[in-house]
Amino acid sequence: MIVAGIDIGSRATKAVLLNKASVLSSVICDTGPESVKTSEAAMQVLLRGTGVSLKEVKYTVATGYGRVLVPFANENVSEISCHARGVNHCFPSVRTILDMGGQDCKAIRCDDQGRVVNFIMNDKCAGGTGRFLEIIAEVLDVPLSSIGEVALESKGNIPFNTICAVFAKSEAISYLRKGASKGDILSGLHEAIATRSVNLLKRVSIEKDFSISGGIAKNMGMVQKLREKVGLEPLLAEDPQLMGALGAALFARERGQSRNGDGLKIQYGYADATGNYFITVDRARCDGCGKCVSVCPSSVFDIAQENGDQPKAMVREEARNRLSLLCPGFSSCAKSLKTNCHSVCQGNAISHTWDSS
Amino acid sequence: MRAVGLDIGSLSTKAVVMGGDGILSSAVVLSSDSAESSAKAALQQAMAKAGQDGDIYVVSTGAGGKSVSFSRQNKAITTCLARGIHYLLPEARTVIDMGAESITVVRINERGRVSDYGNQDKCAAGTGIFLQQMAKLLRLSMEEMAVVSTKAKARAEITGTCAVFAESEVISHIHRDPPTPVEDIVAGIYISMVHRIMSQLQRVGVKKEVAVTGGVAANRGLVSILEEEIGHTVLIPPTPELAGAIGAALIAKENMIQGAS
Repeated sequence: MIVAGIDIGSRATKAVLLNKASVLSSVICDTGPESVKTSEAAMQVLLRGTGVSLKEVKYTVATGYGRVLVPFANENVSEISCHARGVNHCFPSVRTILDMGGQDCKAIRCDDQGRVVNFIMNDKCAGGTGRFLEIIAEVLDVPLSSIGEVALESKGNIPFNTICAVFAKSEAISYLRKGASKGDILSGLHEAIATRSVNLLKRVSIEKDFSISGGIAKNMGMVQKLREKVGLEPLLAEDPQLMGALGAALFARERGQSRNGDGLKIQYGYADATGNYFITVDRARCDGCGKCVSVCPSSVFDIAQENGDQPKAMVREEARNRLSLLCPGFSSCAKSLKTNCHSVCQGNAISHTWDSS
Repeated sequence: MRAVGLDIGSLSTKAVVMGGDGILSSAVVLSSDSAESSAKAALQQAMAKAGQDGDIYVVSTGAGGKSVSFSRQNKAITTCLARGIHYLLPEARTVIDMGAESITVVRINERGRVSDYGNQDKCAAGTGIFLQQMAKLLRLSMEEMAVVSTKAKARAEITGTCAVFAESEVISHIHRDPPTPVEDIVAGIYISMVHRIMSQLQRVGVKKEVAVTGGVAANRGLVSILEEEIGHTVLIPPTPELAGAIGAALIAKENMIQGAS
């Protein structure tokens, strides 16, 4: 079975094509203003040269900032879950992950299965994100890809007491005018960002092993500063930027299998760092009576006919990505209403993942 | 000997020359990389305007206040703001200073002394630089922005917790289909700045009357939204950007009198 994971980030789009055993191909491109077009283009490039057609891709999971806008995805999973899953696949011993993305930065703690235990993210401030480094690279007229190396060449570093991208930019300009070397300025800025990232990591508590994912993990200057500050040798994947897409592809393989396995139980919903939100419909037990459709207060269900089969219950397309918001959960539904989907279903075909009862 | 107050801000440097009966002259110049040379330039201009060239007693304040070699004393900007606003508007008990790179809120007593203050200078959101960046993006002058904002029917949603991200939010408003009207975007920018100011204000506590100083105070559109949020009108001195320098000059004058007696 061939599956795909696509990660639509704020700056870059990543995709991974996976078969049963290994990665077939991968792609990294810029996220354009229209993420629908970007996702389609990325998929085309991903399939090019692999001999695989889009139809042969059995299941696709989308993640990242633009995940809800991928037209061909079967499901969405949050990027936090995907990064943890992807890193866990490469390094099962990793428990702490720093994901440094284009417009945010996340500290993630995960267990031995790659499940998220805790996370904290900064998406309110550009300090410590790829956007920050982009602004600085532009001001100093150093290509973004080599700022890390330039920072490593520095002998002393200039202390920056700001991580505000706007202030750092003007401070960098004024240091430049005073004749400071670009290396020293960059080293100081990398140091400031590393300090901030470590503070983020400390809030989820650092446990070894430690890994860095996201585009900034390719910046050796930053990796060096983080190595010093965290005090652990970071385990780096061959391409750390692909971790989210790889995780998404792994989720796709799992979901695709459970869907194809017996062909009877279908899961609708998604997982994110706060939990799993799935409604499972056992098609063998569903008689298509439609009582669940009328009883659900949030109109989650619908009855549909697929490939000439008997009409069966399913979760409406529009509801699948919002299940945790729409569905009050079986136990709370049972308290407030006399009837609920479980009680009206004669064949006991419906189950929820997020019910304690 | 003349008392001179110098406020070396991150964007502009202000000088005020004080005589026996009040302010003789003032000057505002753009701050350069060197606080010393900006201070000199502002001082020379102000002295020339006042027709003075004798001995001076300088008190400095602001971001670059410590780096002025010819200053007799360096005072905290909060102290100078309190003193300056007490002189200009004696009824004021709270000062909101909206500077180029900082938001400072000072609560003052009836004698013009600081009773509490809060200062935000770590992040560009809500500061003058933020507003300037937004004006540039919308290709409007500050004055045009203020005029445009009065026509707003709604306020575009701009989180404004980060100047860099706010810029992308504004761009996406411009490119939306249909595009968000410019006046709504401007109103959205103002309200996001006001929210930053309010959070600082709530920490320190508001006491009537409220005075607004700093270069950003000259922006009427922003101030009227600020008034809406506070719930009453605010006072703006005729030269809001000079409040700190006036306070420094008043301290210089006091020091001279004390030294003489």
